[in-house]
Amino acid sequence: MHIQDLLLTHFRSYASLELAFSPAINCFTGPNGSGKTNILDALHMLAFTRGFRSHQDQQVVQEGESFFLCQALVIREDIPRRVACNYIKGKGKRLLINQKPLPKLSEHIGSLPMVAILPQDGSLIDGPSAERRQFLDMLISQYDPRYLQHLIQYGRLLAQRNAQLKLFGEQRYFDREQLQLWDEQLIPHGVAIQDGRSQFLEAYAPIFETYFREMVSEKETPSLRYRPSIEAATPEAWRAHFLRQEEKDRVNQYTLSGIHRDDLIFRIDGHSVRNFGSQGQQKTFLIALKMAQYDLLAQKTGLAPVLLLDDLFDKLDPHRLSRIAQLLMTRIPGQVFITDTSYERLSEIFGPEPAREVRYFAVQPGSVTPQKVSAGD
Amino acid sequence: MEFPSRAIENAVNELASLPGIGRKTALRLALHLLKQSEADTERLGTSLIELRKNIRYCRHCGNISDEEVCKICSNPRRDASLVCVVEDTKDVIALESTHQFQGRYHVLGGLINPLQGIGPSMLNIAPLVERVRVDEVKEVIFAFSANIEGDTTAFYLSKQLAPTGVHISSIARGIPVGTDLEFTDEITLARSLINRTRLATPDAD
Ligand SMILES: [Zn+2]
Repeated sequence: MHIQDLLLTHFRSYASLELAFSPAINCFTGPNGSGKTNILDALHMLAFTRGFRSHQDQQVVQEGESFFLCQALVIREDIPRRVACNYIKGKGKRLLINQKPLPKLSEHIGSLPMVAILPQDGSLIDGPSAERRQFLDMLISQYDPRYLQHLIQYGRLLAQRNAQLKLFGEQRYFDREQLQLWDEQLIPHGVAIQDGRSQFLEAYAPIFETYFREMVSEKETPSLRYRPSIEAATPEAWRAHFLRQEEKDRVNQYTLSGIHRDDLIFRIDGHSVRNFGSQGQQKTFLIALKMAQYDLLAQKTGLAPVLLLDDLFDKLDPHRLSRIAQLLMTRIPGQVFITDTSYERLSEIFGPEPAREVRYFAVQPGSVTPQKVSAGD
Repeated sequence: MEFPSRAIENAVNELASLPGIGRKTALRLALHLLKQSEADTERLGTSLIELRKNIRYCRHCGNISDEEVCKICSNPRRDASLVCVVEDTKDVIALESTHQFQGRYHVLGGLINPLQGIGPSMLNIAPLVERVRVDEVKEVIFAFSANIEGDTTAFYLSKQLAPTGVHISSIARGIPVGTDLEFTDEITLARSLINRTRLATPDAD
């Protein structure tokens, strides 16, 4: 599966843009602020019906204009389809396949499988635990729709349990039986989610580790571990835990344990990546996490997803860089889009005779110029 | 909205405070009333005042009633051993319009919902337990909305009623009539599977 061309009109910094891509690796280089990321944003829009730079479509429209057009020819299992995501101020956004509008935007999600690695994804490593839970939930929900239902029900029940704790605090009384009313319903969902998470990590962690090891030269041992808030995924363990925490929950008027307090622990050689990892280690960890996501998506869809790498190579040492380039050329079957400030850096890591075709584009404000193509084997 | 008269403005404000009525609709209703005869409007006004003044809640079931005991509870043909517990009066009206239920009702006046500040003590629960203990109730049927508040209330009530030994059941939750299976959400489908009904087979006696 690959994107053959891209046509943009009034899309961010581009009044009008037409590009033809390589089915293998595409590199966009130019100074900061030249508009490289806007191209990846457009591709993201075509896969997920929204960009990653802003949640408001209005902000995607070029200044002074009233609409944007974003379209591409997508080849999937040898069948070309023209995918368009168009927006008109005041009228909203539409997704069209071969000029036919889809009744619901959400119907499109998943038909152009894509994984993006963006600078803001660094928060997966150094941000709050909610980011890691969200990542995990997004991954598992794709494979198990029941998991998503458990999450929704758990969220509703937790909100009621917390409201009950608050009521107790305000009304200065406590009734264990009333609290347990919520526990009894919450626990089956919590246990199912905890179980789902630990089972998923059993499959996911080894894939992650393989990718990580391929990117590092020295013997760095990564570890990706699930740290649940409650010791065991059984109703008995949950009940006992809630009882032990009852006093604290009452004082805080908030439920302090449960799957909404789980975390993922990232370590290299036993040390926390978040606290002690170098920038290179953190980036490598992030890339390996996303590569493993890519692997699972490829397995699930039976297609080769598109991979976006936005401005990721800065501050990575040459050794890691060449390993990542190797990985992109040998292990990633799908189309790749990379942005970077330095053309020299990219042309050096992919070399004069890369294993897959590499097409270079020079980006300047408002325009993109195709440069050389290094043919693959 | 600019109003030519204070009287219109007051009427619009009052009407717009009703659920499901916006200011535009409120204005349309107010202007409509002005076009009607004065007697019509007076009848409407009187009925609203009477609604407020004369309405009572049935001593047995908590349903809205003209008398101390409602029509259903005072009807000797209604089976007193069968009690259907509902959230509020509109559920009674919905169930009555099916003409399928011959028992009596018990109206809770809400569901347990801490997010809205509603705890069990604020609901018409103690009279239900009393009713089951004293009267000759054989079966209690819960007919609540299929959401967590409904489930929680059913769960709480069944605990409260357990010592009485009464038979407790819940209305079946399943696929709406006229709905394709493929468009049914997973929870409903799973519930329908768990609560499946056995079909009579020719071999069975
Ligand atoms: Zn009554």
